[in-house]
Amino acid sequence: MRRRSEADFTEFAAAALRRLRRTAYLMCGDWHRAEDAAQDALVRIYRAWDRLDHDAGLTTYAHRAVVSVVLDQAKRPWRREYSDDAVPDQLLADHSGAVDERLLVIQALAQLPPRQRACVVLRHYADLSIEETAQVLGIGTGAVKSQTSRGLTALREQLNRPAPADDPAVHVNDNEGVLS
Amino acid sequence: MSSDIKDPLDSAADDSAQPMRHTVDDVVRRGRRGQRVRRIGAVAGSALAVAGVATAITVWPGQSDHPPVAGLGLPESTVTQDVTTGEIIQPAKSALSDAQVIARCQSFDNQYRQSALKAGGGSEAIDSWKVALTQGTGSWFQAILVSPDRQRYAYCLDNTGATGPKDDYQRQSVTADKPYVVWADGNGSRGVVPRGVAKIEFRTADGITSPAVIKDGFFLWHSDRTTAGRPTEPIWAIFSDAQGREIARFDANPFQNDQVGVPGGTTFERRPIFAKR
Repeated sequence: MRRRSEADFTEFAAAALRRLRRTAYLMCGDWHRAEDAAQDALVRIYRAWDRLDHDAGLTTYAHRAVVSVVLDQAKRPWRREYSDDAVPDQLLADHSGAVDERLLVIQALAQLPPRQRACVVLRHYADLSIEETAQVLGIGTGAVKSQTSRGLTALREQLNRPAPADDPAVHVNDNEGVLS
Repeated sequence: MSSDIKDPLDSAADDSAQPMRHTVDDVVRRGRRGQRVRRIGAVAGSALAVAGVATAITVWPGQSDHPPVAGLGLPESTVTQDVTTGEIIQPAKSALSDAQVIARCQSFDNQYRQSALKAGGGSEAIDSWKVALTQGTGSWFQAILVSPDRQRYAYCLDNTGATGPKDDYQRQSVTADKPYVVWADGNGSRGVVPRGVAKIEFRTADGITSPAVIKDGFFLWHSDRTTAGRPTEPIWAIFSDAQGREIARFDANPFQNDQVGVPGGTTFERRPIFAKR
């Protein structure tokens, strides 16, 4: 990489590192893994920097990289996630402190299947559009809508939060994923 | 966008109590290592072919005013590679003056300082820095430059854009890398000499051990043999005290699967192996 490019990359990475780490944390629930994932993702971007279109989609590419790294991490035997069909009967709403509230959210996210979790995090935390989320995950926009909808529903159930009446996710047709 | 979910997600991702363990410069260093793997891989094939044909030995004047390591007994005239042992004999001290070295490194440094984060490398110009150590031949040189307060150093390799070796420039705090943690790339290795260490040798995967040049608390080891043998085998940096007793060794090969930047690789912090007493 040329030095000018490296300076550009450094500027980009400095702005993106924490954001990517937070996104990865919501995906995996572990700050150390999240930092590793954010760094791995940025290293991938470093290596591809000169080939990337800097005017279009650097953020999307960065998210694609970090999501890919987190999902790859989960596939490794010592970090493999085991889905637990038995969702806890009830996650008690905790009004005692913000930390407990945060942990509840992380635990609730962890109960979601990886794709649903990724859709929820990318759409509702990283503020990616449906199209960008589809690009990141390599799925259709309809699948993004349905996965996000299901993820939100499950998340709200676990957090004991009723869906707002005007939430478009409530009205998403579950068949969209099949049609996309 | 549902703010009833976005707000809890924002809150859950609050990292104000989670300091970063690494900096962007760590990312850049790992990225560079990953790129060097590919460069070295591309060069290795042609280098092997060339090695089969070229047996000429290049003779360079010695470095008598700065013996690399006390008691090592390098001859006045050295060769780049001993034909019988294969040992890399380190290039002599560059013929350039300190002022010339700094002047040639300055253009690299000007570009490097445009980076936002420098792993403690500081942001001042290097005009007043001192040259701790140089190596070079007629066409290229590499040098360690040290800040006046000796808190930062820069590694500079200038081959005017040519290959073999390639230009390189890094600048960082003297404490940015942990003691004994050194990395070998296509140009060799360089860094800070840990306290109590009098000699550093590198053993490449082909079993050949070559000494680094130590001076003023820093070392340089030039080698193009870091890709010899299987790329996943260790390149041992062996640290010894003045009595020749091994203190520690560290696998300086950054191209193995435990390091980021290698396709399919994982990451964990490699640690030095300390000799038992």
